[in-house]
Amino acid sequence: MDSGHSHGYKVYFSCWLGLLGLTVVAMGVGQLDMPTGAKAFLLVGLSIVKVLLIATYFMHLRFEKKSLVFITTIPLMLAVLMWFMIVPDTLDTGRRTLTLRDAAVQPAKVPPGAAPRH
Amino acid sequence: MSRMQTATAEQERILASPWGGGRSPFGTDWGKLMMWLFIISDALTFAALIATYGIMRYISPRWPIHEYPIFDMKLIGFMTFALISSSAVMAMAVGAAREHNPKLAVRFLLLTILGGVIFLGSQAYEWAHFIGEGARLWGNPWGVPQFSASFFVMTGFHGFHVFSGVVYLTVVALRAALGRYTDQGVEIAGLYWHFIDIVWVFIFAFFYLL
Repeated sequence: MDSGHSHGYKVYFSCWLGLLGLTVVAMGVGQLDMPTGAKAFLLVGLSIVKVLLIATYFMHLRFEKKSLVFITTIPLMLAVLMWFMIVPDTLDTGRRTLTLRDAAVQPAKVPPGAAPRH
Repeated sequence: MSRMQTATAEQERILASPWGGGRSPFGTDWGKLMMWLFIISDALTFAALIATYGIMRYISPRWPIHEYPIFDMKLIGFMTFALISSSAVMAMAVGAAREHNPKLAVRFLLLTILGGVIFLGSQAYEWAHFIGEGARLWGNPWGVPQFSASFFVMTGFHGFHVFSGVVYLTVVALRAALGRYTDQGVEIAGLYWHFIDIVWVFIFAFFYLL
């Protein structure tokens, strides 16, 4: 933060009220009877707004140089990207675990005449 | 130009460049930049924990909080209120420190610490209740072992951060009370505390509400 920036406590108070309001809304969304995907979408959206409020005003990121903003946000965006790259691998995890377990209890198929390796 | 002069000129050119160490490429001092780097690395650790939890949720055919009223949401809401409030007061402590008002900064720091202690006390109560109902790291009465494992690991790791933050802020407050503080020091401590708040935002949404 540049030393020239002096914040009124009013900004922090407004931000605090906003965060509390968003928390109440999130708790309301949590009680709603709706598909999990839609609920997750709403909660992620509300969480991102809350995080932006905290990072922008409480952590003063809006007054930092862009280079600092980039090094703080880009790794997190990459982490989110990594999540979406991992999820497809988990879609059939249960089936694959079962397959591996089945393979473990079945005797190995040895071709006729082939000697076991020692 | 001799070889020595060329080397000196090259060294001066590098030092004068934004990445030469002679300037601050991020426009901030060393301590604050290191705290930001720590926050990024810690955020990635929490991201890994939350991603693992998400995958477990995704592959679990059922999840107990949809079937049983396990958590007292009033308590969780109160904990969130305490942490958000402490974060706001911490921002005010930084403001007071920057205005060179140590007395006010110490008062705000003490309020921040109080918020952290209230959060930790509530979490201890929640853990005691959860353990009392039979939940363990490796299993629980609701039949989905990953549920209690995720709970203990995520809230435990976060709670440890809160505890560390309370200790850190206590040291900063003591130093400020003795007049041995810098406004940058308070701001760096504030960054850590706000980060704890950010992590809780996600744990609150993904674990308790979803």
